[in-house]
Amino acid sequence: MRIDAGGKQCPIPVIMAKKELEAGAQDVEIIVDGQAQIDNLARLGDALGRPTTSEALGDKFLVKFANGETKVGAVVAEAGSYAVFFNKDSIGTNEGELGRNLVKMAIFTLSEAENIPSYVLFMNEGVKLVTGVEPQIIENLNTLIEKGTQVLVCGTCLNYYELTDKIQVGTVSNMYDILGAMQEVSKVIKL
Amino acid sequence: MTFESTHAAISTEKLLKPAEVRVMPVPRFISASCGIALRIRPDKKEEAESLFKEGSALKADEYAYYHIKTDGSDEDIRCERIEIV
Repeated sequence: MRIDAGGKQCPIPVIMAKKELEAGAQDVEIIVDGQAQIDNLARLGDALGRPTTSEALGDKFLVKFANGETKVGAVVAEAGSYAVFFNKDSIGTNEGELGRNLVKMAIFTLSEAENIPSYVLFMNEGVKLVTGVEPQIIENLNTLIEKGTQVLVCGTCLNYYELTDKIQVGTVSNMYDILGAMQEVSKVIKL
Repeated sequence: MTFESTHAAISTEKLLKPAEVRVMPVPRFISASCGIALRIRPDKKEEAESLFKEGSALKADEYAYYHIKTDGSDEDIRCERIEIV
């Protein structure tokens, strides 16, 4: 079956595809606008055991899911695994520079830690942190990525703050992946 | 570089920004208190020191400046307090 998600913003294509895949549909292919949607669908495919391939289709793209059985159910959390969630560009809500410096110290400390987080997640105003306002944050997040952390950034939020083209580190992501990441680890630390 | 007050740390971080200083928690081997320290790269040491000398109003007892050497392991950290002259 072919789904037309042309002109649809994240996470709509993911929602449309997920519904069909979880219903067990085969020969699922979906038309999308660009790379962000292709990447999001690839992650969905991997998570559900239905990996994707993609090809150009005129000025759009066609993403095809492999046939097979769709994996359903929760992923078992690895003991000691954790995610760190930033939904503000500060630790705490007071005005001023303290909160921003605390964020910088926190991300630095995580980057030096022996037990690194599986995920660092940015949502709402937190996405401002990955746009280069503080070079140190970009450096330390890159260190974490080299060590294996996944940095997921809410695409809706980047779009809202008109920062989509300003992202300097991490993967543009969606509510599915961010909530999925939270469920996958044994704890989520919200800063 | 460590500080007596958080305000001093934040204002010095701003002052030394051109020297690409990085904020970090004060290392545990210097102090157990929760404080902001500034990390200065060896190649930026002179630039940071001259910015500090020109622009900082901190008195000598309001900050401490350390030279830290390590081979990368936590066991072998040599930490020596130095002065900005």
